Amino acid sequence: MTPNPKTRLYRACEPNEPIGPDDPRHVNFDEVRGDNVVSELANTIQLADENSPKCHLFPGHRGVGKTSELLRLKKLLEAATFHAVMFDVQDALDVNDLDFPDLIVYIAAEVQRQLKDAKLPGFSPSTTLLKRWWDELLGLLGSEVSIKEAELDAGFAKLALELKNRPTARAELRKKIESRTSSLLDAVNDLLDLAGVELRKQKRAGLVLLIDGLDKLVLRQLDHGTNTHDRLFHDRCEQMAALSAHVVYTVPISMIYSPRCANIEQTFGAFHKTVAMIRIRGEKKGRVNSKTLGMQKLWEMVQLRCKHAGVEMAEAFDVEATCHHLCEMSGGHPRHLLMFLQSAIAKIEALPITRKAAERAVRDYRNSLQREVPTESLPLLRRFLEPQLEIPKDERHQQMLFYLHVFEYMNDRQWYEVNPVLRELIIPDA
Amino acid sequence: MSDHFALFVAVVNRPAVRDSLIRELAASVPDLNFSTVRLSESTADPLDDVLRQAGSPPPGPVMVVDFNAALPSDAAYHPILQALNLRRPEWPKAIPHPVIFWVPEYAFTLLAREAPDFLDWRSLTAFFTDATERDLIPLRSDAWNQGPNTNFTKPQREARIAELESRLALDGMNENDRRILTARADWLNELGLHRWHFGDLEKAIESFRQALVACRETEDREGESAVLANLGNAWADLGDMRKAFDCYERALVLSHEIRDRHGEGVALGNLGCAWAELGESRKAIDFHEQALTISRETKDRQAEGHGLGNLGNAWADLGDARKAADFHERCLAVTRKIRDRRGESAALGNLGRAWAELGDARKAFDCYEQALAVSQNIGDRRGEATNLANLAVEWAGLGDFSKAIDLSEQALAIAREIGDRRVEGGVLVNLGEAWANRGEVRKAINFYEQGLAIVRGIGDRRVEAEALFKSAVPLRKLGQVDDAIRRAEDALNIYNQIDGPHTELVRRTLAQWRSATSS
Repeated sequence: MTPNPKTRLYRACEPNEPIGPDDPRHVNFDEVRGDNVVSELANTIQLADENSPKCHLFPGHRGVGKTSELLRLKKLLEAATFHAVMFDVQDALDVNDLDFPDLIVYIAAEVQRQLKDAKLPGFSPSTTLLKRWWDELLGLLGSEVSIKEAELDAGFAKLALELKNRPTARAELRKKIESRTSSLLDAVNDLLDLAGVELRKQKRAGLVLLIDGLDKLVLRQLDHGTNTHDRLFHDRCEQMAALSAHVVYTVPISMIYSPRCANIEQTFGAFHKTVAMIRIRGEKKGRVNSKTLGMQKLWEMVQLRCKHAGVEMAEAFDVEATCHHLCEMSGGHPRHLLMFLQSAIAKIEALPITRKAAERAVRDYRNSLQREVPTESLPLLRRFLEPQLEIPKDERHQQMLFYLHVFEYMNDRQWYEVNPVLRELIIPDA
Repeated sequence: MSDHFALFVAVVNRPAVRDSLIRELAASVPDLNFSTVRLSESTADPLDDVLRQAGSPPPGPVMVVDFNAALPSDAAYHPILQALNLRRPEWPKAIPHPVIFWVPEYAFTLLAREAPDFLDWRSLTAFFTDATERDLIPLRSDAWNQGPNTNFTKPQREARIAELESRLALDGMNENDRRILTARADWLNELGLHRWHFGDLEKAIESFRQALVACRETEDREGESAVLANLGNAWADLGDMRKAFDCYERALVLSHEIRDRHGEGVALGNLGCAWAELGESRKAIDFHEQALTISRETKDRQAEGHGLGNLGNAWADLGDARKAADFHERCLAVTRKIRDRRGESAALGNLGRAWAELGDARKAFDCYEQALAVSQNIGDRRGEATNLANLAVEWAGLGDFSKAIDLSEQALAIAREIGDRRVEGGVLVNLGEAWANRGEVRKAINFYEQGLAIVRGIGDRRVEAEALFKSAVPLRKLGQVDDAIRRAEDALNIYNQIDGPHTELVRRTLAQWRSATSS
């Protein structure tokens, strides 16, 4: 029995599913995000000297659509004859605590596996350097870890999982890997060089690594005044930038506002193109109404989801204004919009989504946010009731961006505004 | 020789030399009744040992030996020296004859420091240095150009060589695509380095030359400078110093032009090693100090280790073994910290030589044996040969010439296998000396001639001088006195030109021979 329209619509609004460029639900938001981040990045990579591969950071709020954008980038690069290796660190690593040894091990695993699957002619991912590193590491690990994988890439994958699944043993494991990090980097680079050469022989442009999921790295304080973000992106930026292929890393948006940002830019390059929130305000930051380009785009997104579910817009919403309300309350955050839709659908017996259900969905989210926002931040958030051109680069504001209390938008330059859901929380009672 | 107490101190490191000197001395005054007293670890007071072993009172002059056993060099203080000081007044009463202390150099230093009152009594100190050159191992910097690190075991290195060779042989590797050319240059440079490590010098040079071509095609000047350094090292090891200098100097100029501090440091260090091999130790020190400064600036620990080790070698060449030992200890610490195994093996070998110079045979053996083990483990043939040669010299010093010959022949076989003429030449000279000590004069001369031919060919002046001087001795024994004197003169000429500690010894010997001839 086919699911009823309500169920189909619910399923079509899955917020965690990244939408590729060829998916019928895909909407191109370039016009309302700011610059054409993806096409510019694709151009930059194409224009670069093949002998000095560069590293690019792909920052943006969580849920803003980075993975979908990365999939678009992948398609553009493949059209330009690059071979793109893309993976999401969340599949194998623990984003609560991810550190460089975990990352490099997983990169080694995925690069080997995907290059093997790609079956490049004349290429084998089992290089002597990787084997040598692996043998030495197994020697170091001794009986702690039993990894008897026959294939090298499977071994690395298993090691990554060990790091994820055994938090108590993690520190020891990392220490052992760390003592050999630079030779693992050398071994991975040797593999990347080999692949790069094989691709050039096939008259293809080269190799690109697209590494997703690092933006989900949880911002946690650690001992000695550092935090999980700095530990990776700041302390290890030289090594992250030392790979022998073009690399795009997603990074949490708060990194860009870290006081250490200048240091990071030194190594990674100053060119940070953020994937910004969708602008729902009108021209020159005019008022939000249903006619603005951003709101129309969001409407389009909802429309395509309905279509995918085989449901008419008129069926889905009691009045158009209900949909507009949800779009407005999302603040231009695509994932939030989808979450609201699902939350609202869950509150009704059958379609259409009522204004009441929509308001309750928003209120649920507001309540959960209320628990999150530190009391000390409330007065600071008031500044952002109106669009602001600047945001202080301190820890508290970094947290606001990371936890989606404040959104970043882009016209010719960035500006910041509070998450609309929080407005009622911080507007003092009249 | 008087018939009352007098103290003489004879400083000689090698027991075999000491014993033969004692024999000569005893033979020259057959009327006197010499006693030899051996100290040991359990010696509490040398005077007691003398009276116990030689008699109370002894019948004639007393030779006190084996201070090595009684005075370990790494103890903080030495009770027996206190005893010497305290019981000083009793010696003349107990022993109405001359007493000769035969001490290795480090023990002499200890005596001076801890028993100064006793030592003050001495009538004479005689130094019997010997002219044997143990091979120094220069720490040439190889430039990996950000490639894999150097800690390969032998089978790992062989696997990597095979892999690189097959990659370079594939279709399409000769295309003009810049990416392919860059990879080609990197792989050729790495291949050359692996071959160099194994001592395959001719093949290494071939790879480096091809790498240079690729670097020039991509205008990679930093790469070019690195390859030039490596090529220079290979030439130096083959013994062609002219070509080596040429490479190093080009690398230095290039690094300067592209403001590559690291490359500059590498070139300066390698130039220092090259000057050292030509006997110009002070020039070498200058270059090595510059290289060391740069290594600290660029925070390059491996280069720092090399700088320290090379400075140690330069001081050893100038005869200051204590300074050398100090530098080598520091070098060893660095190489172990950064797991530079080849550097570690070289540091151990050089440290062993320093201890040998200071007369501490136990420590020297210990270092050489460790060095040998490491070089075997990493498949460093040249290091293996050098360490075997050094061990042979130590055995000869203890008087075991059979063992010395055996180890030397092993070293010779390896040196010939890898085409290392420097080690080959040095070992041939050592074999000459070993056979001379066994009394086989003609065999000795034969080996000396072979060794001389080679070291002249590679321009190693120090070993040339040593070979000339040493081969003069058996020639004299065979009655070819004029030839012997001429050789000693040639040796003296060279020692006068290069900085060396053996000039004095050679001069004295020559003077003796001349006066013997004219009388």
